[in-house]
Amino acid sequence: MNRSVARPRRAHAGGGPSWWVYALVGAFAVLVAGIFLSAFLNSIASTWFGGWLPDAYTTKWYRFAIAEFDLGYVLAITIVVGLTVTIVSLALGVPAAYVLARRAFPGRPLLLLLLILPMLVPPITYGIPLAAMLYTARLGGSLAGVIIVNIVPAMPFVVLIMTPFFEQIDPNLERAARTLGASPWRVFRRVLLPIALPGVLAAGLLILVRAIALFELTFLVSGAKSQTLVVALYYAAFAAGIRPSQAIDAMAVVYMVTGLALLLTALRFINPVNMVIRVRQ
Amino acid sequence: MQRAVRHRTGEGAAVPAPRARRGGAVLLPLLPALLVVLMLFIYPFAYGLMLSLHPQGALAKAGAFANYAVFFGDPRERTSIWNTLRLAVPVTLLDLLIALPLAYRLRRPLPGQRVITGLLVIPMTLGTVLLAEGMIEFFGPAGWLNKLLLALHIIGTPVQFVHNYTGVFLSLMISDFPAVFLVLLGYASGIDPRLEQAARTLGAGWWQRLLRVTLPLLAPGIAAAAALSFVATFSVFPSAVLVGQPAGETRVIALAAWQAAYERFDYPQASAIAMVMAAIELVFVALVLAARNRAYQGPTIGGRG
Amino acid sequence: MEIRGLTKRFADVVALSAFDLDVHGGEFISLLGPSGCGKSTALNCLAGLVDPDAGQILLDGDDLSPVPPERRGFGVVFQSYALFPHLTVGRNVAFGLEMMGVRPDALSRRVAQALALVHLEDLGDRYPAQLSGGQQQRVALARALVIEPRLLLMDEPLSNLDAKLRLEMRLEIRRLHQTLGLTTFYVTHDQEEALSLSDRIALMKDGTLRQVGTPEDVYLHPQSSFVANFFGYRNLFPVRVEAVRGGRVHVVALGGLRLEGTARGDLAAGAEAVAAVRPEDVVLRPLGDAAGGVPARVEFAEFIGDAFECSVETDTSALFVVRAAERWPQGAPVALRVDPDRLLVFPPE
Repeated sequence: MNRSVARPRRAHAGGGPSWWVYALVGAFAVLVAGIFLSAFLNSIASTWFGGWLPDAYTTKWYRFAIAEFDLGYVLAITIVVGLTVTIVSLALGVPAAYVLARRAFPGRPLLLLLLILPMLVPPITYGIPLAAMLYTARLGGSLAGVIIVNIVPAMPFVVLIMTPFFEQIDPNLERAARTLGASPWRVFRRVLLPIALPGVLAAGLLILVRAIALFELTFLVSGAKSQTLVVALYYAAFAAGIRPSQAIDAMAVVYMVTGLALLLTALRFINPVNMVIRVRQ
Repeated sequence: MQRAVRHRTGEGAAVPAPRARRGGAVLLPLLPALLVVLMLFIYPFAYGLMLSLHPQGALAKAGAFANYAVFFGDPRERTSIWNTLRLAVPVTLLDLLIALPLAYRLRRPLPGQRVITGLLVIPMTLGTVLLAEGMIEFFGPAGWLNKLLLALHIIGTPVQFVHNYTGVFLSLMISDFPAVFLVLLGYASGIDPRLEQAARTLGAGWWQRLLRVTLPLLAPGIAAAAALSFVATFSVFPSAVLVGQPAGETRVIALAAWQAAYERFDYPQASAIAMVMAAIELVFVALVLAARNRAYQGPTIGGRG
Repeated sequence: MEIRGLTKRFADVVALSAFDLDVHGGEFISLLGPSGCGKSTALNCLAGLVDPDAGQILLDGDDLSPVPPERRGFGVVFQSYALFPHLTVGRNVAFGLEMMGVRPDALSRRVAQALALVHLEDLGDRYPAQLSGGQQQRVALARALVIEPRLLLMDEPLSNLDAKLRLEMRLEIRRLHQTLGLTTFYVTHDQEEALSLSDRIALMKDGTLRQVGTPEDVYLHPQSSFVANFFGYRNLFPVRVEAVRGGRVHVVALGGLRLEGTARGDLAAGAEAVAAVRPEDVVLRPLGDAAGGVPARVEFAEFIGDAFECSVETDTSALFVVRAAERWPQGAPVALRVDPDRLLVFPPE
């Protein structure tokens, strides 16, 4: 139109060309997809002798894995552990998050840090003494032990997610309810809970996903009868010489599908970037 | 009922409504969570520390620090620190290097932003065990990567990607990258875009804006990401076993601790090793924080009335 | 500077449309309008931070479109100040000079001068977060001025300040303009600011320019009901034209209220129009007190310091805001009179 000829200007108010972003992310996605895909293909291959694709397909490895690794039982354990850990962590963490969000008291930032610390510290560092403690308390190797141990990193996660969430709910809503005659319990039930519910559910989903994937702590504490899926997978992979790799991959696929299903459900409700932005404050 | 409502400047929307008679009871809901943290986290640390200072068995008479002496004295044990550092430091640096431009570019939303972040979050949540297991196929001598490289004539014979240092390195890069990226992205998107615009109107080209405005403001984020990444990679465990060489070059410190506990049933020794691990991580985090404090002080939102 | 036909859309919203303006050197021109009228978009286009979809900006004959913001040499003061939080006040102000490559001794001298200009001499080592709103604003100003820009662009710089501070800063800005004589482009929604600071005012609504003129011009001779309303014509009525005679037009409002006023624009009998009159141009007399007037009743009277503002409702249910010297009791019957010279009738928007 009325423009002068050459425009040696920045392309967009965004910061430049963006093709390389897609390229990089694309490469990463292809890599990760390739990794999972080859495991998946292996799990449905009857034989695979070194071509690009398996020679023939079968589902026998899944049946084998289910029998060999007692997958049904392990899955049940995993679900029980996951759900219990989630519920307990929510029960502990949500009230704590609420108090942290609403009340100001001396030492609040310190307390917040303390509550979040277990999530930031790698599990091995406190896991071994914790396991030792649990074994002395005769809880080692039991389902209860596994659940207890997984609560430690899960509850801080709840606090981390829910505190900024509560902070964002206008405190005036609660005050308005109080002036209209609602007792604190009523306020919680009729005002807070409905508003907080989506956040709580989202956090719960995320915890479930994490609880299922958490390896180290369960590994240190579980016994033969209380292994979660990921730990069973590790043991199977560890014994790779003895067990057929296809069966191990079958189990891996089961694990992956479970985790992915939960994760994708969670992602529909949350944007991870928003989470991180709130979190870093 | 009289209520004193104090306005509080600063973080959050917390406006306290203290009622003198309630006092500490208001904090009651916090208690269970706090107890859990204290009993199941802080206490194990203290217990572990104490345990490590009470050597058992043959070392029982060798004094409180015998565990540590043994650990540092034994060359095989000692090298585990080096093995782990060899992995943690390069992975952290490389992930930062790759994630930084990516996060910088994505601070303004791009079409498909959610897909991108979703893609990156998936490997992060599925965990290292699955990744390691999958890698055995993909990176194996008969796996797709080798096949591709052979087909493109980039290599002549299959390269050994797994069951060595490379395997663990790759596994850590893949599992660590999304976390680093998300942290950096969080910080990058939190920088007020008006600041860059102001810098432009004052004559700063893109390079100067990056150097003088964006990077200093990103320093806290870079520090956080570096700390998080190092701590996570330094405590690597399952991948070191599954795609590494646990008896040799990828015998990481976490593995040393585990072996002490579960193979030799020497819990004091295991705790000692865990303490050493924690100490090294702490030192690193402290260093990073000190460096970032020198680079920048203050919030990332421009001065506002 | 000549701005021709500037147009900008964001998604399906036209932010700016066919914006034409001539700005003379040394002039202080305000872009005035309600939120969303496009004034900030116009400013961003001038600064180069936004690319217009169409149109040209010429400075002394040179087309500015290929020039990126970092090379336009304009000083910009943002509404949120956009001070670099990681730099001290001194370094903030020095930033532009550093970009230009000014040598250290000249640089520190100029920074000191700029800080003195805004009365912040001793605060050079503080960080923006440690300053009050007014001080931050002045730092932003100093930062923009120190580079000796060709043009100063200000985007509602006073809107984040409290009333008292706003008045003080307004004087500062006026003083600075008189001292430095910089061509200034000032965006605001506050008509008082625009009136007191500007050599000329450009009124905008919905992305288009409605009227451009000196403060007296736009205040005393609004060309549309929108402009009139902006400058204090608080009594606005949709009316129908009954007759046009000489310069006078007779209109009738809803409910049958008959008024006589001055036409502003082409009006034919039977047409729809808008009548506008200022509160101070409506006179109240006790009902029955001689010569005519519209019968009405006082709803209430507010004391506003130097006068009373009365809400008056006519028998035809038309509501007037009237400025009176004394407090009329509630419910008092009155007669309303309006000088036809002061009642303006505009074609509808």
